[in-house]
Amino acid sequence: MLKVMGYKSYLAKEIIIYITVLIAAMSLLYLLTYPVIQEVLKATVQTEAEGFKQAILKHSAGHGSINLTNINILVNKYKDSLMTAYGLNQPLYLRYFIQMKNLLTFNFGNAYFLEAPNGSHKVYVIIASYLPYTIILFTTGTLIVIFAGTLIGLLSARYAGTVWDKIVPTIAVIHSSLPTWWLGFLLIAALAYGVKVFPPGGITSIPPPKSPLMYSINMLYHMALPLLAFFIVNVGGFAYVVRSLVISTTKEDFVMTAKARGLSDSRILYRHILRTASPSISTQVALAIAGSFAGGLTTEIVFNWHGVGWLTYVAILLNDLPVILGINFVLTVILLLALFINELVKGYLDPRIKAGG
Amino acid sequence: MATETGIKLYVNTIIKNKSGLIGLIMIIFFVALSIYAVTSFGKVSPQWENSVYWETYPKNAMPYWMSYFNPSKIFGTKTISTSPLSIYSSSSYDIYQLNYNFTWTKDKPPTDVVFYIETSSPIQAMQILWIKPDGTNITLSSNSPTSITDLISYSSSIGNYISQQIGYVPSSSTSQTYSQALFGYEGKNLLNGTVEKGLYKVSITIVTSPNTKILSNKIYLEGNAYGLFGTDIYGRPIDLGILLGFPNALEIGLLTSIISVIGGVIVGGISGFLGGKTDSAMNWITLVILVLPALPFLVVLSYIMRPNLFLEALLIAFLSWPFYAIIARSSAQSIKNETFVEADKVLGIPSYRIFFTHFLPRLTPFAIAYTALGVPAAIILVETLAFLGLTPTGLVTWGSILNSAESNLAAVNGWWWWILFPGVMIILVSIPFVMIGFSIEKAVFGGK
Repeated sequence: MLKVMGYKSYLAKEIIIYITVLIAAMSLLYLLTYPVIQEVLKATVQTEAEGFKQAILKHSAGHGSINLTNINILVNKYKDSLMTAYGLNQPLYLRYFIQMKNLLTFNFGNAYFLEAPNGSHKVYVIIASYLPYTIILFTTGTLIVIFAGTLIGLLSARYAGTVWDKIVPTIAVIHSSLPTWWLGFLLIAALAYGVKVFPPGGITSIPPPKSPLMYSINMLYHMALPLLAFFIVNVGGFAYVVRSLVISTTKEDFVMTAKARGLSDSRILYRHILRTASPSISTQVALAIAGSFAGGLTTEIVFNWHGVGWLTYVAILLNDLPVILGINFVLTVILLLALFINELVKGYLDPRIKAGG
Repeated sequence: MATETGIKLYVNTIIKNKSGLIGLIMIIFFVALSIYAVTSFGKVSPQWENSVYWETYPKNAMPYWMSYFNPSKIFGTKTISTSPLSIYSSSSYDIYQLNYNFTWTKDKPPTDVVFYIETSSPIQAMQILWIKPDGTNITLSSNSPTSITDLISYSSSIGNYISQQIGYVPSSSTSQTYSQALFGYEGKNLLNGTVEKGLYKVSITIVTSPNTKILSNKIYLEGNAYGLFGTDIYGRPIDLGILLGFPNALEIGLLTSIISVIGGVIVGGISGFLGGKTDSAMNWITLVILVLPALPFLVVLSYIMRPNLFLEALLIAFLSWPFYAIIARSSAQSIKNETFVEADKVLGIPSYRIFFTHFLPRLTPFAIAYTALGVPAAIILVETLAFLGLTPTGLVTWGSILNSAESNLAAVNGWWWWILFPGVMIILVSIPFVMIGFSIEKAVFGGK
């Protein structure tokens, strides 16, 4: 049944699949959120037009002759311009296609209410100004978790049957039952307000230090608590995955061969087992980093860390549809890219996958 | 590999494993607590947001057991009642007098004093004479007497008293300040924190319309410690809130987990079993849902739809089934390559029968393990949404208690019990499910 396919056509097929997945996911989001948000926008247009009318009436009150018809025409014109700005006067399917085309070309339009720190209303500018903070926080966090988690997982696999082996399942239970935001909240109460060791939130002190060195030290200081919460919650889960992967690799024949050759345990563990298990571990890494950006929403809110998670929440509270769609699109693209790269690596390494069918 | 199936096997598997047994006992205990919460306190839950209902409870009280460490400074609420005396009665109005005596021995004044007089018709006028142990006294009167009044209701009377004694009124006066004024030594040192110990006499005179009866009366000398887990800023007992959070946490956790695992096993199982074009199509659908950023997406949907408990469970299940589908698919693929399936195919047994006889029984242990593991994940998601203020309407959840702790600055004010205990509950309720899930996983899949 094996139908050998070149790596290039495999690549093409995967790219098509991932693009269609992206479009479908966005359509789903759009269709589920649009009807309600449309109502909100119509109400907004109505109140703004009403306010505009009142302003004109007040303004023209001192001028004697008031022409109501003219004012109504003016108000209607204003209303129309608002409807166009919010895209409310086109048929639904057209709005859908325009929205999808805009999303795919990273043209998210203007935010209704939010603005970037530099005053721009362009959604991509807004997202671009908040995304780096999310990336800094959660990539750092994930890297620390991966480093410590791999170490703990390896030790636990090496000393199977001892205390080390009991530790990993226990901290894995913590991983599955502890909400990061709550731990963060508790740490803030204890270490920021109880014993005043760490700042209670924010990215830097206000006003931020001038010199770049002091700025980064200040930022690291503010990152300490969120990183601690993230680390405590996630390290057990990652160690558990590493441990399972290493244990299942240990059962393979080549490990037995290496043992028969009389190689030392640590040499087998680091040179043979870890090397073999590392593609699977790196898959976990890619997905963990990509997933942490979307999952950090509450952590960012608790620590008042102004990244995309925090931005999402504010955009939802303000019903700012273009920003909501834009952020979800960016997060979906990041996750899809991680999956895609993972798929490519797997396809490249595993000759069986090169064959379709 | 499990060869026999049925509930008995799983119960045996769980009980044989120590952590599984502990998990099972904990779950039974939680279910019992939920039943107790619904049957005994079901009526309280709609009152949770109604601050008047909690007026007689001490505000921001720490857990009562803290008083064992420092009984002279940390204490519970003391209530006193008396039998009312009718001192005047006519066709136009009645006058009653209520005399209370109590001895105060603590180093700190109560956090507040609440006067509670329930009458059959509204009180028209009310005056309180407060006599301290050394004989000095203060008269409290309120313009709009109601059946429940606390010291804030008498802020003008007590404020005047304070300014007479010390010459000014502190700018940020709370019920704590007023209480100190009622319990401190008269003179310049009224508010310096020292408390007169001894016998206090309180005499309340009320004027009502004729033929009014006094149904019940009480003075609450509010403590700064209450119950197992303390109270919040509105006086709501945290232990009661936690109890009310049990049924909905378990309900939504189980419901979500069961729906998403069943959905995932069906999609993944069929996809892996059939293979080919169906597999590709189902895989594609799974991928579409999988790549949605779950938490932001869920927040958007709950904010827009304002779902009830069942709809929220459906929404979370809708976003979680792909994880189970992926795992079910790979298990189904490995079962498919087993020789007995090949044999059945060669024998010409129809594929739906192969699916039911070989696939479903082998996917069941997997499904049960993941249902158990899915419960805490679902509970954490629901509490997370509640923490963001997206609680299904009319429910008291641990997440919403924590939400109100955050918005009322519990961390800044050091009300640690308001933050600690609801979160500990989320962990406690999750742990047995994780333990059971791990123990089934270990027994069935033979992982070390």
